[in-house]
Amino acid sequence: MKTQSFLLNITSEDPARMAAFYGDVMKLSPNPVIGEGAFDLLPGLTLHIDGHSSTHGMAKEPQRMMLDFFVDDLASEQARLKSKGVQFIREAGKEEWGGVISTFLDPDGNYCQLIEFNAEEAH
Amino acid sequence: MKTTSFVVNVTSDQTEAMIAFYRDVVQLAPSPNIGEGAFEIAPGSTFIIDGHSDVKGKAKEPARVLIDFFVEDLAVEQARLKAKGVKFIREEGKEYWGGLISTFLDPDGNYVQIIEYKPELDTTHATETAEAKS
Repeated sequence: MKTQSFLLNITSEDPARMAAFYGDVMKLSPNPVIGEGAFDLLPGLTLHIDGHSSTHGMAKEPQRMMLDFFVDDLASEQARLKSKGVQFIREAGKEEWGGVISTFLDPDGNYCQLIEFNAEEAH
Repeated sequence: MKTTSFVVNVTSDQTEAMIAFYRDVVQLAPSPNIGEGAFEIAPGSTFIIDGHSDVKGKAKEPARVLIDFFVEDLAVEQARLKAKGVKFIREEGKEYWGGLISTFLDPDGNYVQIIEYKPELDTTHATETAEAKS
């Protein structure tokens, strides 16, 4: 399939609270074309938060789909998010392929991960 | 936050069927450097299917996260997927912002959407024009 662009659409009962989290706490770049609740993750990849009639309350199965943000400096991003009260459920966990992963929750309990890749730690 | 790359990680207890679906039916571009189950969806952006100890059976809440592929020709892609037996639950639904959306299910029942943007269906600007005239 030839795709022009990709959009990950997270739905919520409280999309305004979720958009504030991804905009003000995570500090993702707003996507002005789509507007409220839309953020550019990378060229051709957008995150959009809005409502859905069958989405209520907290995520029932957050392990099913995880959002992985690769960053240059996991420690500083983690410290920044923790200082804003973000809840982490895994901190700087090491993976055999060289990834260091910290997992945190968005306001709906969806799983987001910060990942730093350290090639020298791969084995 | 400055992200150097991004991964959408979908987990399943039938990873082989899920990988075969996205590779052979949806026909995403494989990302062999990362490994089996990885597909490149945009530059620096990867879709990865693997397992998770807490994920069993069908998706319990498929409307929570929707996977949207924007395509040039929705009708062609939809016909191609239907010919391979893919189940659609919405076909060419029109959105006020100009989107034409068809929604289908992957083997775990996750909601996947193909979307074609048609400016002529976009009523948001028509409203602005009407307001400007009034």
